[in-house]
Amino acid sequence: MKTLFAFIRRLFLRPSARIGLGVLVTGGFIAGVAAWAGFNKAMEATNHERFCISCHTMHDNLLPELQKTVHWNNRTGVRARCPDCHVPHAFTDKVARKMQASREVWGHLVGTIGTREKFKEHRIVLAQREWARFAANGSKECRACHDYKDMDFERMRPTSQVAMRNAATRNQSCVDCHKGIAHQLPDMKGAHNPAFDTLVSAAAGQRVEVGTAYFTVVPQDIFADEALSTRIGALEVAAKVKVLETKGDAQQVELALWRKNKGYGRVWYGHFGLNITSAVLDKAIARDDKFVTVLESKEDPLTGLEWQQVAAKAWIRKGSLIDSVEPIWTIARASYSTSCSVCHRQPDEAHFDANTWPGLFGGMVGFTSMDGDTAKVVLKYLQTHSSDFSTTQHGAGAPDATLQTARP
Amino acid sequence: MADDSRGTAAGVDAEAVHGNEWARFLLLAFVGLPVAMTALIAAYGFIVWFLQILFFGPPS
Repeated sequence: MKTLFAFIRRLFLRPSARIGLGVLVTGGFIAGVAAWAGFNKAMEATNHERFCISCHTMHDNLLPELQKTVHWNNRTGVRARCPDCHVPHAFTDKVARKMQASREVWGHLVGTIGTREKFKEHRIVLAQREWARFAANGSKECRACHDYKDMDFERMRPTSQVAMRNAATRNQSCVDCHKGIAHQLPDMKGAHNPAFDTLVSAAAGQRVEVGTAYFTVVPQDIFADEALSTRIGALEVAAKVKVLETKGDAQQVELALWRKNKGYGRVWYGHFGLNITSAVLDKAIARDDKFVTVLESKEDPLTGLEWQQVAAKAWIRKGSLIDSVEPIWTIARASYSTSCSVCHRQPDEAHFDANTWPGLFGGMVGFTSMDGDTAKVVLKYLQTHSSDFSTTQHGAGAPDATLQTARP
Repeated sequence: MADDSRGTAAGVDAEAVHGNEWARFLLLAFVGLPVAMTALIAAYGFIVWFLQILFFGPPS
């Protein structure tokens, strides 16, 4: 090391004795030009479609999808190539993105998305990464070709005009609405939302203290006994419970919720008068006085139904509680803003009340690619952030901006 | 080939240094510095990327 420094020191500080100054400068100049040209050549070569699809993941999964779209083949013969959309065009961001590709090289080596199945399962992660990038830079790469200032709104279909003029006034990012325009959308139906994995691992490391309230991170069964053998119902996600004691793999929790005093009273809600489901009990147990304690009865003036505040003790499997509900809402908020804005601008959470959301959401969720668990979390998020809970006047989600015909 | 550079020990040393002056010049100009440039740009890219992860978020 020391000799290396000495060598470099000599190399730079001892004047040349044999080679003329002009020759040195000219030689250095030529070498500089050659090096910069070579560097640009390499940047260009790694920014070419040929290079992108030389990796089999891209060639087998993404190329065939692109080939079915207008960005591959159209009547004007102008086409977008991989880097036109996916590599930033400015120098600094481009270099950063190319270094970021080291992660992709690593993924290729360990085979993270080596097969079609793995790719499809992982697709939502990749898509969300790219959607976040487009959301941050306002779809800059799209707008290298399609910019609002160059659009002739008069020549659009009338239905498109409304949406596009609104988007232009807001200077909205293209990908806010046009997701899945060049590749298939991630299929999340019946699939597992990987965002929940972080929650589950956070819950596994959660320190639980007796007598404190926690929230469930996943829907789960509840049991009558600590051996977890007699199932008596199920808790929904983000249900609030108080921990009473921990024994081995089981945890005893206390539920303090509301129910409608009608029928079996199986469905338990988090708040008086609001249909935000927290737990669903089995028929056999729901009216059992040994299990359920009624604390208070109150009539809901809107529906004339009697609501009862009820409490019960039950056992759950250990390791699925978390001390703050916010991480759950973060996931729900991300799902809500990405899934619902594909066709229309999503309404403000507080634009509707907690009892209106289930009907609206149930009617729309079929058009999205949310899996069952995610849909439940998103609905609960919307209900608990609805006008019943919000103190601010709803603003952004004006009806004219939200109710537009869906994109074909 | 100056006279004083021959015969003495220092002269032999200087001769050897002068002899590979061209080799060192070419090596530095066409190999050493281009490699250093690429390494610096790569380091710059990584630094920007890490800053994006930690503080800035994706480029706006």
